[in-house]
Amino acid sequence: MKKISVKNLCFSYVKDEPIVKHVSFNIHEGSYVSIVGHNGSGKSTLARLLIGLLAPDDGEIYIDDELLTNKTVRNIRKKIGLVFQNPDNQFIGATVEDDIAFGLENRQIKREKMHEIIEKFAKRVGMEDFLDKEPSRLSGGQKQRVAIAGALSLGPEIIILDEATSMLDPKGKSDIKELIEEMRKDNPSLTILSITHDVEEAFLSDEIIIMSKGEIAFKGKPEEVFSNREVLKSLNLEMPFIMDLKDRLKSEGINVDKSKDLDEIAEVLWPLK
Amino acid sequence: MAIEVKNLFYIYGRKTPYQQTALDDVSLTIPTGSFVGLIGRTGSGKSTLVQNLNALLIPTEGEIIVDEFHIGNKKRKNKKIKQLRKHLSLVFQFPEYQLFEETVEKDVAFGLMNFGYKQNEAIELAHKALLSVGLDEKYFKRSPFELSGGERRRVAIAGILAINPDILVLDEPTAGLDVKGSKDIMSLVKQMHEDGKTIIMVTHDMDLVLRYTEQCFVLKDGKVTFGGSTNQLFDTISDDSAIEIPPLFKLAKKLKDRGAPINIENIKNAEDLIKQVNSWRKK
Amino acid sequence: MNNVTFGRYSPLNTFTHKVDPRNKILILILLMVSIFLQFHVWSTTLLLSGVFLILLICLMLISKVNFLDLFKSLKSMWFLVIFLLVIYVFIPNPTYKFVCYRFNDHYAIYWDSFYQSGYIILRLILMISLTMVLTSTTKPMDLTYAFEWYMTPLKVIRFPVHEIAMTLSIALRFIPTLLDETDRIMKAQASRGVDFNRGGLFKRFKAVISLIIPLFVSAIQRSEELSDAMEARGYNPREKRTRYRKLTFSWRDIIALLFGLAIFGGILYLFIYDHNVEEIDLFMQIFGINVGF
Repeated sequence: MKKISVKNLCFSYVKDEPIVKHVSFNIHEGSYVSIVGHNGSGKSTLARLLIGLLAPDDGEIYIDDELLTNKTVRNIRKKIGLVFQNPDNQFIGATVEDDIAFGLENRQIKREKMHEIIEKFAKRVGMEDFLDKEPSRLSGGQKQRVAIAGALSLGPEIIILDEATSMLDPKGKSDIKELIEEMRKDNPSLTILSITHDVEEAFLSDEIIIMSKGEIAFKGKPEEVFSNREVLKSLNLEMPFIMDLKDRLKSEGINVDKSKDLDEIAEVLWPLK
Repeated sequence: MAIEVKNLFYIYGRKTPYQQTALDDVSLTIPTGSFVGLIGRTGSGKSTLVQNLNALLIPTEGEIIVDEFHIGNKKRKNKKIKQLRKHLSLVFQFPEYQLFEETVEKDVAFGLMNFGYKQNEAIELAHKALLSVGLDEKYFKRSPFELSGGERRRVAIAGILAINPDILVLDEPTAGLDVKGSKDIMSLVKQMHEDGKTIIMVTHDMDLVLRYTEQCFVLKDGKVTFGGSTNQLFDTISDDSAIEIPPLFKLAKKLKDRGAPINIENIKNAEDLIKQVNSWRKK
Repeated sequence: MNNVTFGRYSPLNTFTHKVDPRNKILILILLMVSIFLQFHVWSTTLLLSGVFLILLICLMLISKVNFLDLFKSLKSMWFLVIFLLVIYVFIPNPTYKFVCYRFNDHYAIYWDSFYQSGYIILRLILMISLTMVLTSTTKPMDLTYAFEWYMTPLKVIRFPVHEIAMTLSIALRFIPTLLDETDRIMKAQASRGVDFNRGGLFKRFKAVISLIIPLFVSAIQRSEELSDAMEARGYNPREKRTRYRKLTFSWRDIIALLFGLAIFGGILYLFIYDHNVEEIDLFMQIFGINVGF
């Protein structure tokens, strides 16, 4: 089932300087899609368009076959949880629990029910021991986990991560990646759209859309995308380490196509006699 | 030796309920002309250490010797701090946020003028620095606020390079940049090292540590837990340590464990590994 | 930034901490009015000030507020003390009676000047201390809620009470973030040779500019991202919202309020009595003893 459908989307902040040019794609329910591209490729603008924070110049966005317009935007937003890049700038409440409560308050959830919901989702992201902590006492990764809890607590059908890991340290990054996996297991119908420039992270998704200069440059499964070295090179994108190494070895006349991991590559490079 | 740190302690919020020991008896030496990595988790004391190095923070105890400069815990005795900051410059994380002048060249010249250069002299040096980071004449008169993130960072780095310090400390120089932006910045840093500058780089990115640094120091809870050659670090630590071994090095280690005649000390990037593989395949 | 410790919220669990912030604000106002009532005979005033001082000390003990911190923050008042003293000594009021030293027919120094300025300073100290007891026992966010509650009637005249309270709470939330940012930018500029403490007027001006502009740019960027984040989470200032935090009135509040009302009522009674019976030492009247002169 099509969850998100984008048709011929165009957007520009300044006239004649288009940021998004005639972009079309479909995203199916329950899939995990990464949008990859350089800074300035238009990928973050795309996230803001999808949730109606910006209005497109041309083209249509459908969520569950419902066209995104001024009238439907509030209803559609209820289906989407958005996590932004900067952990500090999306922490609204004074403490962890207040921040998770913020969205619930907007949805007019009854006070009596809130505490239970907050506890459940704080636990989901592993922040249940920090409920009364202020943001200045949390690490970037912890703040992002709170942001995810805030988004999940509203029961969204789609989660959009707008470079949610790019300002985090490796521990924070891997925590968020694990969390994404767990979220998918919890709720297989949850659609995840991750905007990122971390190729290793994109490699975990079901589908990758590569944006370049406001257009879709390539679309496909991670293996397809990363096996197409020419495309990646022309877009100046990095390959995941293993794929890059396989390519390099191949050009030296060593075929390691069948090797799945480092151990198997090592076996080819130095077979035990 | 470019830098000698002796029994350095740094305590935040001393004698308050918020007291916190950030550096706990840190001693290390950094030779002139080396490229050193400083690694550790967030909150391990890396940032505090580098801020002590150019007297932005004054040691609670212990001392630091940076070539002819001396930093101790007696604030009044620390003279020549300005000259020290010209000798050892610090590029903060996300340095693009420190830009403020109306044109790029003025912003780069700002630091120079603080260190006593005349305006026209400063502008001339600023142009040189901007060219060296790959920003040509077209950029000189533009406002820094209309540039892209990567370009702004290059302007900020040019602002430090123009001062021409002998020791350069970079805090997460590639954070938040995309692949191309990171590559540009790192090749710039490498060039500066080849020009004879001592480079200290604080980073979480172990691929960068392996590829560029010769030596590294690992900080944990304010203590130095490792100091020595970078390759030796990755060779000795186990897989489950807080430090992630770069996949390239993991492969090299696996080859070594299998008994391959691999010289693990020389592996810095994929080319190095392939060269070694080829050398034994020919036999 | 770290030397201002008094008045900053300290996370304890005393009686005062548990009192409803709305109630605390009300009691504070009652006490302040009581302190400001002036009596004809200065022995009365002085005695009541002593009562308030003892009250303050008790309150600080109950709230576990650090006395040392209070003295530290009052130290910065010395300028005000001298200023008031000079004003009162050199511009005497014609009603002053007790001459301390007479220069000539036109000018004299009166004891009254010292008494008047001392009294004002004492009242100021009492008020500042009481306010600080409030802020150090109440979370800033709870104060905002309390203010919003008090301003609710203004909604009738379409005064944007909710918007102001939300703005205030976000400002409070971002103070530590912006302080960190200020520290970071100052250090970054110091690495570029900026000296914030020395140099001529122009250099200092430039130094401040090099701090202010980046700070502004980042604050604007933050606010844009924040408003996006709020909108994405369904915030609409015109719509009804529910409340996670609820302020509750408990037995503690009744005790505290009764206590506040008792003091206010007592002082008010004395005040009215004092103004009816002019020029008579109030305490002599009431207790039959002469504690004054």
